[in-house]
Amino acid sequence: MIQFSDLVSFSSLMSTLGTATIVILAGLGCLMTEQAGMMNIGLDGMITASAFAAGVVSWLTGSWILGLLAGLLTGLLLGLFYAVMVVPLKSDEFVIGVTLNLFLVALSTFLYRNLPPAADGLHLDMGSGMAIPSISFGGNAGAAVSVSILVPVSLALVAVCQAFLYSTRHGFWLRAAGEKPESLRSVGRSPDRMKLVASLLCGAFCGLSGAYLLNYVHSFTEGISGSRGYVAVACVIFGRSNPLLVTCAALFFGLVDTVSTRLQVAGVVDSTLTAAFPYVGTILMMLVLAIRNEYRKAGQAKSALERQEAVK
Amino acid sequence: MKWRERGIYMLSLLISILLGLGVGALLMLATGHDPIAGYRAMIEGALGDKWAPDTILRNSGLGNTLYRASLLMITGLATAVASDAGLFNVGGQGQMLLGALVAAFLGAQMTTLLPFTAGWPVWLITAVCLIAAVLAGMIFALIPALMKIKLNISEVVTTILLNSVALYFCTYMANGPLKAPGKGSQTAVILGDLNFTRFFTPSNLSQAVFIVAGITLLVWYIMNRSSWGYEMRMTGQNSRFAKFSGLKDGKLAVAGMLISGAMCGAVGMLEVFGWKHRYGVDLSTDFYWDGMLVAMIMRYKPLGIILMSFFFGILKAGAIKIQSSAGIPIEIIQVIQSIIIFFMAAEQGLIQRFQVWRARRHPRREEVKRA
Amino acid sequence: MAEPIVSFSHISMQFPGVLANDDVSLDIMPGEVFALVGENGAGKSTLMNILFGINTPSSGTLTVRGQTMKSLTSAQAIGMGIGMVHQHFMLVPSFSVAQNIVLGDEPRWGPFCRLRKAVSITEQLVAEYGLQVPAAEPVRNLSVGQQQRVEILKTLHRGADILILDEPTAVLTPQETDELFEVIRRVVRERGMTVIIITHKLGEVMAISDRVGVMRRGRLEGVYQTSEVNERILASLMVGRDVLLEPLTRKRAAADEIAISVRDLWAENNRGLPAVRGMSLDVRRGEIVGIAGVEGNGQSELAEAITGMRPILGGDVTVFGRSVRGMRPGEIRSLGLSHVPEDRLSTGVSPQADITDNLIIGKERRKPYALLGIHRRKRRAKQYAAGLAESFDIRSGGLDTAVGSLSGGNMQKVVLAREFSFDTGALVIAQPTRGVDIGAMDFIHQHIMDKRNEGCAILLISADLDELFRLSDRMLTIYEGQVTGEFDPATATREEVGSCMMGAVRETKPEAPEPVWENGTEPRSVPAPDDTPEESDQPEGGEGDPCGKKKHKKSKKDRKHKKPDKDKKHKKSEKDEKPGKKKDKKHKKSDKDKKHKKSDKDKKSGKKKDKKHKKSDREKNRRKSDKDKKPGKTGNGERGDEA
Repeated sequence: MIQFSDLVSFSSLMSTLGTATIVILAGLGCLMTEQAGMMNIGLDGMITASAFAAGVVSWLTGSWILGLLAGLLTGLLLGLFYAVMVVPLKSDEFVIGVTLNLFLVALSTFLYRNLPPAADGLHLDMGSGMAIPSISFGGNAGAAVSVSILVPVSLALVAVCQAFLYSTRHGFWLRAAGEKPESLRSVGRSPDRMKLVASLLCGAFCGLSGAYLLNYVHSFTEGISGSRGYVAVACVIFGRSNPLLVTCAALFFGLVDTVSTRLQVAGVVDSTLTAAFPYVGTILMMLVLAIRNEYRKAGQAKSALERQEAVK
Repeated sequence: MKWRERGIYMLSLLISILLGLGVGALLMLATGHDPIAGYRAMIEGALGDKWAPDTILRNSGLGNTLYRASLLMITGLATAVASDAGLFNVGGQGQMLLGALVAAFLGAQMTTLLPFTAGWPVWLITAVCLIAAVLAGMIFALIPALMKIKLNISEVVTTILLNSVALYFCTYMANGPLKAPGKGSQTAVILGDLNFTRFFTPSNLSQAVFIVAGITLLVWYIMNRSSWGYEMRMTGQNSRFAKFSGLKDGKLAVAGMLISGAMCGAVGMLEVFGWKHRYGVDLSTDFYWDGMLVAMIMRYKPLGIILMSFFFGILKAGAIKIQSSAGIPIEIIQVIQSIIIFFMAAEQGLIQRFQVWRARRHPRREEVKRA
Repeated sequence: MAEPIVSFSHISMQFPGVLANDDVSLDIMPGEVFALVGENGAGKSTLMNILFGINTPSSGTLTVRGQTMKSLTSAQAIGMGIGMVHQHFMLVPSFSVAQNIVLGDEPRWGPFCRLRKAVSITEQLVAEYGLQVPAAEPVRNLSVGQQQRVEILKTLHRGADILILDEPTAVLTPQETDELFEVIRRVVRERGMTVIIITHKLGEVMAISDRVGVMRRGRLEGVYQTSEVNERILASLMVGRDVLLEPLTRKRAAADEIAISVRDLWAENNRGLPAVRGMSLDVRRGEIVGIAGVEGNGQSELAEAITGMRPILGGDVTVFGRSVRGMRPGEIRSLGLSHVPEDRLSTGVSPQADITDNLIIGKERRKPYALLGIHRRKRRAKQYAAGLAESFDIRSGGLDTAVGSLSGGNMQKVVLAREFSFDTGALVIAQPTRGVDIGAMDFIHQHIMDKRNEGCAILLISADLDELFRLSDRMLTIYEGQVTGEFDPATATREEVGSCMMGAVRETKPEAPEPVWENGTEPRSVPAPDDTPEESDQPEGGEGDPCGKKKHKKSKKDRKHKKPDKDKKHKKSEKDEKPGKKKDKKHKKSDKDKKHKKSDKDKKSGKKKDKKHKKSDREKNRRKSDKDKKPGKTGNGERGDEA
């Protein structure tokens, strides 16, 4: 018998945070490029590749820090690749994004298969090295809940991104690069450079996400990212590229995910159907937001008129 | 003028392919495999093994290639149709799955359970299933199309999300309500009569290829020769202009998306009837991405899509042989494909830079070409 | 002789396929106002973009303040005190005015930006230069004139003392233009700034510049002292031939059948604000009704509402008697109303499609071009297109060239060819010659006149007063969504029309009695109680053409009067000046009516003289104050032209 407290409890919230962090980090990266005027949907690929790199390095060196750095570096390189393809070489962002997804997943899997198998003939458990420390909370009845330190780190990063975009010069330039690149050129700054920065940031965030993902699921598999990248994209669209809103969207998504998992565990609803809930929820949310926007536009116009009159 | 453009384009295509194969070779070397053996295995797998014991096996590779090519062709064209009308259909996977599910279910039911249909001729049942699949795909494509037209919600995002929804839904159905008793996640098997005959068995090529050809021709006709296609294209290029000129731009854009969805639904049905004979969770629809990318790099031109599909079909069909004969993981093919796509995607930009560089070095006194 | 502050030396700029600047050598003197004129595509903006570091020249050198270089970056240009205000503003809409002004160089505290400091900097600048803008307001809420001021402040903030203005008045009202010129004069006089103004409005050149350089097809044709040239000379230099737009023959008067009827129309603009506020007008068959107004006063929305591109919120529009409320453009076209849209690139053509596709649209399902409405007969379509291209002189590299690569003039001809060939009885034509070179412009005018003579009803909306004067049978001025005046182009003056375009409202008065003129050459209006001083300041003695000179003097006087009145509400000053003019207007109008009614042959001979005089006035007015000549580039992103 399911109790509400099973669904919404401290542990479930922590679990939500845990899974949502993957999306939050990827989402932060995606919104950076979106603010700079590019839509990078190659997040899945970047996450997977970073996870793979993190796994390899952490397995080789036994250090999770190095693994994390490897993930970051991979992400940065991929961000660079994306920026070069899209900005100077004028490729279509969408094509590059999708192809990156296919390419990186395939490449990672290819390399993974080529790694020497472990002693028992099975493939390597790459996640073993990625033991990012976590914080434990003593829960009810001795059921301790632990959450990786990356979780509060990511939340802090959300605040950092918010401050960056709306209070710092470089943040302004990045937004200007996306909203009106000519404005930067007219003052002697380069929008292309800001786009590069945005893409690098995206890569870095995805790198972080990938490393954390490996830690979260403990071992690398082919479908490790599980289309979370696309979910991050959806979150960015809801949150209108605003870090706080995007995080809220990601949390909502995670919450639905958690609730449905709990329901599934309790045998209430079939697993696969509940797995679809978040996606359906996402679409419904988009619908609601869009409809609300239509109504809001009318109101804005009225106040714009008043403001214009006052300004004259 | 145009020939020169085309010439440059063909050249870049060739270079991309060579580069892709080259990088693939490098990767193979780097991981300790023999690229020559690898590519030979691929070609054998794709075009037939000369030393196979009998004719059938010899041609099975070709059969597979044609089969793969036909799938890519149709998904590529589906992408092109939608794109021509101004919408990106990224949801082909979902539409395919639904089409497959519906077709499999109906196919099985109509022959076994529903008494009044039991006696119907094969072709009729097949047609009904095809239509049902097409409808399923269309309805599923209608949702994102309407959301885009009415509320300007990005169809890219909605279709991607709906893919997952479709996947989960179909899996659920296959495991639950529509589950065939006694079998794993799948629906009931369609009776033998209904299955398409195979050519070049054990290849996957079947009569489905005729349907594919038919659909291709039909779509080509619609897009190139019919007023409807012309109007859709105009809508896709400039919807404001289309509306201004009296075209019902919203309806046309949605129509384009629906055709795309219909095609994908059909593909789902073909997969079931031609190959798997039932809907199962192992139904792979990932080739939709490849078809989509083929369409993109061939700039949505039907002829180019068809040709490139053959080439990619060779790659794909040979992939399995690469793994089985040469021991190279099949993902290498995806890697090679992606590299080709990267180069083609950057082609425009690279050529532009090249032109600018060349013009800088030799400023010519060209007459301003304006009136 | 002073050293030039900026010097172009054998500058050439090669773009793929076109040589935009061809061996240009030009010196700019410090402290002068230099006008750079030329048609669209002449290379003016390209040249200045080189100075501002946006373009790197293919050859030649640039010398700024004694430093010679092959090219520079925008950052370097700014460092050297060069500032540029572009045609299309480069402001971030969601940022505030202050943010935009300090963009790139924000006052900071570590990595953070001190927005309050930015606001105070802005307010300082506003006080210093007298350019009013609200510092904290997001730029997207500002009017176009205000946005331009922000752009100028942006350059001033960076210490620019070489100011480049690219087609600055294209988007300004006449009053804002005057204000801008005041600012220019002030900064030149008080701060010794050098101003380079790119324009093709010859009247402005004459009004504001010290020297003028003429560019044509990438070459610098010559540099002149403004005092030594006039508009006619400049125009002929610009096109390489004597451009005299001859008046077009008007066959027969307008019929009585009303083709387009607008009653109390209300429509919104894209931001939800009312743009058309209760307009009413009629267009009859065989007449051209011109709508004169500065962009942004509702004309675009008017055209769109009539043609179904914009919802009608109030009032009604009938085309040949049928109401078109709620109809789609296609339906309205089948009622008999075609539309040449204002923005050809976004609405008039599909740039990616070829000429044939662009010409056949709307007819693609009809008989000879499609079987059963489905199967396209491409060959027939191509033949049709070829015929149209021939008769409309559409020059291109072939019928299958993409329309987007055509020049502005040719693209416009494609639109015209298509819309005219629907054989509708009514046409709405908006900004037909914007961004179009003079040769094509004349051609297009001729076609419009032909259509009128065939009996078509035409509503012509244009920001080019010359065009309106040339083509219209009747002119209406529009201001803030309302009709502010109705004029007869044969007798109206540009000043009258201009003032109504700026908001003065012409009240209709009853018919005045036949007036008597003072000088003996023409009858003059009976002095009214509120007669303004200018009326009595008529020149004594006939110096050749007293009527013409009178007009000339009057216009100068008007200007003088307008300037101090600027501080008061401009509507009020307009009202003071109106009565005198109105009387002139009244009598001219009654003349015209009489002419129409074909009465009194005696009066007619007198009228003929009047008409002749008035015509030459109009020509003089047209050439003198070319203030309202068609703007070159607008904010509509037309890629076909390069200024």
